[in-house]
Amino acid sequence: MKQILHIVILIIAVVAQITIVDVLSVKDISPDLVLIALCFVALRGDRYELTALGFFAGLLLDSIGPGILGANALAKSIAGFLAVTLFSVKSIHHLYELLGVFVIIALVNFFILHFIIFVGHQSFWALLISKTLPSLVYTIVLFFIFFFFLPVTSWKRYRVGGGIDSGLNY
Amino acid sequence: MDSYKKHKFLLLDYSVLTGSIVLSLVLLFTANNSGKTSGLQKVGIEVLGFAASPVQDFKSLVRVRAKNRRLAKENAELELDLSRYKEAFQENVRLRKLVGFGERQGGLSVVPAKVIGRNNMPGVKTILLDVGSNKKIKSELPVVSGEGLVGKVIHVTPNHSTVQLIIDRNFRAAARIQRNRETGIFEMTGKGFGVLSGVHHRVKIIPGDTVITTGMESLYPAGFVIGIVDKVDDSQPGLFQNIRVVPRVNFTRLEEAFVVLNDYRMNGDDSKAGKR
Repeated sequence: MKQILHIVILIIAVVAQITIVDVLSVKDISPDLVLIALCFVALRGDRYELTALGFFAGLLLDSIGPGILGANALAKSIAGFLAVTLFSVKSIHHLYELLGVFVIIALVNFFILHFIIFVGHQSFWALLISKTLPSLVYTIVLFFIFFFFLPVTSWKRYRVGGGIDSGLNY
Repeated sequence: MDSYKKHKFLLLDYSVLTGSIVLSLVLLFTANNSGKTSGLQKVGIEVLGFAASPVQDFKSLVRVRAKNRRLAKENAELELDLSRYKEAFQENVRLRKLVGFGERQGGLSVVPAKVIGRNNMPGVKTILLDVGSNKKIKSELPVVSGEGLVGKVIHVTPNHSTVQLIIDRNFRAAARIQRNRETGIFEMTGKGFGVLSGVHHRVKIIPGDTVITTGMESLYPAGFVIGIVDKVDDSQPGLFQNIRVVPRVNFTRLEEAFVVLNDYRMNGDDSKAGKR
């Protein structure tokens, strides 16, 4: 039942990403709603589940792109795995702790995407600054706003294991 | 929890991660080279298309009142324009007869489509349309809107199609300055504007000039507006000028588009289309 709910949340996020994200776009800079949803689900899900869900959500996003099938799938599956892992490292009592973890996940996700899309491009670094960084910052801001209005109990968590691979969710 | 169970889960975690990475890399290195729409991609487009349609319908409904008012105003203006153009057309027919020109080929037939989704990743710009091969849509067909050229169809499924926009960084098209008929290649820079390359230093280009398709490459019919010249820099060394072009179509507000069922390719010159 929990897994079905997670799948539904991610499908809604993917649909929102391709339909209503233009409403949120500022001067061609758009947030990654799927990444935010993936992290939301990661607070409750298992690591293998989030890796697989990230892969399929990314694959759906890739399917309407021109010739980069696999880019989002790779970035989101690693982001899903990383999210559950990092959320398991320590207890999260404050929003800034949650935000700190999300910044790392978002950096990894956006860097993988940017590298795949723009590798070999003559203005690789200029595009990183002009295109990818603004999207990254916007996603982080939106993540903060989203979790700011959520009840603390929905994201607050206590470390119960003994480290990254201690199996918090098992 | 016993150690055995914990290790079993760890093994599962890393197996799924490895599997996902390997699958993604396989897709990256194989599925993107063929130039065709893969089966996996077709399934993705169909699923997203069906899920996105109701959301887009709702969005359209919200905007319909304001749009209706704007369209009524535009309609009135277009009626006035139309009467003027009818006059001009009649005059053109008379003059062509006078100088012995034959009649031009008929207009292009188009399929109206609704934009139901978009991919807005940095540098990658596509939209999802609610028409597919069931409505005779094929890959490589041009897509236009009232404002000008939108892009070309790249993936087609029975009910949906994906369009590569002209603001995608990989888009290129033969283009022409409408005023003086000078030709060049239009391509996007990935910075929100495009450049028209291959125009000689001696040619006078003015900011505000309209850039249109040439029709020479048989992919896009001639005369569709691509954009407007924004800035001209002929101070750089070399044979050609650096012409900055801003696309005419407002892609963030694009809700409807028309796929051109290119009559020229389908009826007039199949042999040429086949050779491409």
